[in-house]
Amino acid sequence: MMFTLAAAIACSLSPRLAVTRGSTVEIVARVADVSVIAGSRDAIELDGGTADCRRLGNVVLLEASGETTRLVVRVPSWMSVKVNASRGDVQVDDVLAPLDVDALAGDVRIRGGRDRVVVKTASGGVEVAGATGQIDISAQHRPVLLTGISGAIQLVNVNGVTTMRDIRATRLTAVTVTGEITCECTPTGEAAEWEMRASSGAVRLSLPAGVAAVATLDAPRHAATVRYPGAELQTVGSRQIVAVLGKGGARIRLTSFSGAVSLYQR
Amino acid sequence: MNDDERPFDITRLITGGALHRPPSRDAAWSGILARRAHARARQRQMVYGGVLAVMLLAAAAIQSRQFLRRERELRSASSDRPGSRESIRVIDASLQSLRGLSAGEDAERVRAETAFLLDIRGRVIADSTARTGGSE
Repeated sequence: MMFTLAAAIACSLSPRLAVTRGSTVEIVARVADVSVIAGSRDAIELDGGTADCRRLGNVVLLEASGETTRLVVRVPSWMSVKVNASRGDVQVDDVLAPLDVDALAGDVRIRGGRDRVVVKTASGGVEVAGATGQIDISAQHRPVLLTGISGAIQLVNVNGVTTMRDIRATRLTAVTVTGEITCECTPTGEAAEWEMRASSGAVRLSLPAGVAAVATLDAPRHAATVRYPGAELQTVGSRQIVAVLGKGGARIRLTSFSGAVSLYQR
Repeated sequence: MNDDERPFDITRLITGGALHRPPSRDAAWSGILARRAHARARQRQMVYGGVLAVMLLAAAAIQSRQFLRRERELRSASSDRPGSRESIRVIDASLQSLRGLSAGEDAERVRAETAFLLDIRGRVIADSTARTGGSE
């Protein structure tokens, strides 16, 4: 990072920095909250706070400076955004491009995001809405809320509650250790593969009527529940229930080593 | 002068006259020496006690300072990666609880669960290490 900053050329944001398509912006903030808003036309503008600006090829590096506590950056909606925040919250609105957010201690709220959205946080909560593409979420012990997402989801929330609503996913992997996973989701196509797994937490999946899937519920005896009209149930061993919905198709696996697992129709 | 000629003395009556025997010169000198020795011993004890108290205070101060510094370091480290540490603690507790279940018919299931937890633990550490540039 230091080498990159040293090799970069200083740039000015006053009043705005013109950028060409294909450029990306990387924002670093140690204590400041960061808000990135799509809306400017082929330019980066600061709408709050101060930042040192450097440019390396088509990458614009912004580092919150001075005593800035809130950095507001306006970017074109096509611009890929990367944010690294140490203490503050991060909010990204309406960017229709890849996003990569690493917030050490703050909460992350994203509306939008295309192709690839990566969010990592060590002790903050995560909210992502309206993203499409490959979504990778890594959280530790705070709530994660995903809404209106389509694509492929990979999620780890070690100790927190994960809620997914209005999800249309081809591939979905969500794991937790002691947290809970609740998913109001719809598999897209018969090739969809989902796995939701908890070690000692609960897993709940609600599907719309008419889904064609084969769901395997793996939980302690009497801890697996299927309430899906028309589902054909088969018990395998002491832990597993296989539910065939419709004519079968998408593969769904719901597992909890010592918690409850449930599948129901919404 | 016999006893009948002495004036009445209540002390003599009680002690049988022992206290009224004048001490010999040697006995008086040894008493003085004993008192001096006793006084010196008291002084030495006070000095030793004082030195010991100072040493204890110094040790306590050093330990307190080290404790505070360690606590400050831990708090600082913890504030850098609180979530990761908490996650690893939770995962380790889950792994520990699995160890008691490793025998019996669920052995295969327990092994799979252990592998699952170790995989998540590895991911958490990898994320944390990536953030801190491998300093962890």
